Amino acid sequence: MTKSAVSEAVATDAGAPAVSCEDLVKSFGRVEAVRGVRFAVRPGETVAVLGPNGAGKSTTVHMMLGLFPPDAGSIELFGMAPEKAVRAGRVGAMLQEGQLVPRVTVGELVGFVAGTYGSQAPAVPHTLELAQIADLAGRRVDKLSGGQMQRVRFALALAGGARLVVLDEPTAALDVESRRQLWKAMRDYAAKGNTVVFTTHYLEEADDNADRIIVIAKGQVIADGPAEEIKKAAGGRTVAFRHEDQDPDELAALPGVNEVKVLHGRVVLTTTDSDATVAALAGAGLPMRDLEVAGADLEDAFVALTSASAEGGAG
Amino acid sequence: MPAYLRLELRRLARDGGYLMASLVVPVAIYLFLGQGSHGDLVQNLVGTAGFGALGVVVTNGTSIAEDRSRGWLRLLRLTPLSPLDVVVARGLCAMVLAVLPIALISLLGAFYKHVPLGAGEWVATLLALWFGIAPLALLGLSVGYLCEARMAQVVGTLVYVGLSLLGGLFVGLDSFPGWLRALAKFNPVYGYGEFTRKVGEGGAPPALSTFVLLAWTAAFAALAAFAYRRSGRYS
Repeated sequence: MTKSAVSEAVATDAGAPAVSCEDLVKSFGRVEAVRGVRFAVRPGETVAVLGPNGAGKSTTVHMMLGLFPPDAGSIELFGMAPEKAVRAGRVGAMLQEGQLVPRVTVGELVGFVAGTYGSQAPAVPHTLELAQIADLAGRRVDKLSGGQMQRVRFALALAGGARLVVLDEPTAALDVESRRQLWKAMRDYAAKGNTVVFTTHYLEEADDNADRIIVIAKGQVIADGPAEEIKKAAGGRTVAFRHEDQDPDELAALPGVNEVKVLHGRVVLTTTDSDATVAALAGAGLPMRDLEVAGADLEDAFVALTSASAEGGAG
Repeated sequence: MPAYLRLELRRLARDGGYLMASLVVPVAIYLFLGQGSHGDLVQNLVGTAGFGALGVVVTNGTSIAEDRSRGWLRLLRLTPLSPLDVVVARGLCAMVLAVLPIALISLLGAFYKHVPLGAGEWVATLLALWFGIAPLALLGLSVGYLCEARMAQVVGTLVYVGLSLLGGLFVGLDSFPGWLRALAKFNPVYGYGEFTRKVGEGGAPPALSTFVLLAWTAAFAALAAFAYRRSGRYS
């Protein structure tokens, strides 16, 4: 809790990153949940923190929100200590766990939370609309289904009109349609210049909804960049066609090709530049019947990245 | 903070079952207690009203543990609301709640049991009953912030029943063995009852029980502050 005079003095947040995490470390007993996480989020960015369960995503988010301090390292939101940014109404948050408190209605709860943010909060009906719960305004929060509760918690994160919204696994327990609506609401919110940081282990959610993806595994950031870049880092795209009498060495020498595999009678090339690879294939007159070009999906990228880090490589 | 206090009071007002249950026992006890001397009448009034007030301030505290397990405290912590305001509002909730048993028992006392108190004595009794419960409301908050939900219930009940019995709210201390009687004098509930009775009988506030009440108020305020800060790390 001891804040340095310097960080106290940096009361202004002009130009400061929305989130700045420096070498965060947090252990629970002998479990090292977070081991040196470091990243920054610029105002207006939408960033996905992606990782498997137990990677340290939630711990990082909790520290970002000032719920507990890191053992080492520092966090600032808009140049302020997290608790201070929360008190200043800069942050709206949605955490995973917890039911909602009984004996209040959805409208009362959203209205109450909005009220704590003062005049910056948008009108409550607007927030209810955004979170697709306008029809639930009069319902008691303890009488809602899991998915409805999840949308109420999402509404609570948006209710204050905060410039930074942090969502921890926001679509857990939601059906496909609710998920789609939630992401749309989130993108609308981000489009107004707000900053959004969300965690997920749904890979396509990160890909579809974030400007940038930070991959966390075993308490460390193992990749950080636009989705495209992360896929490329993990081997890019695949080019596949029927296996005939192509020379594997010749295939391996094609531009962009990293790997040549033969699977179930098909040649599968992993390439960093599928356009150049296909052009070269055609140029060399190699047979390529039933040609398929596919992006290595984030799932593959993810597996490649996490297994690389598990091997303890410095890269 | 007023908005938060309003929200919590609204939640309480909707908990009719809890409110009824918290009033039934003190009212029943009060109705069963026989008539007697002037002293007995005041003792019974103060004993049961104080018992009822103690019950609601303790359960108000233990319900905090439940709120924590539901993530409510954490949700509040993620709003711009000041954490201190949250604690103070919960304490005020306890004080508002305490009005119910005190008022109900006093109405029964005045109009059914005809407790012979003058207007000034009534005012003094009611104020003493109400203000005197404050340290125990702080104890309730401490239990709620220190314990997990189920543990809080157990500890709350122990506090409620244990302190009432040992504090001589119903049975005078005369029937206790000597060492227990000596110990009881330092029980905050004994101090509460003694203080209220003396004030209700028109006397000056007795020095020992005034001191005991003030000391426990300071101690439980410190405990509540510690408990609140400690729970912050886990809520």
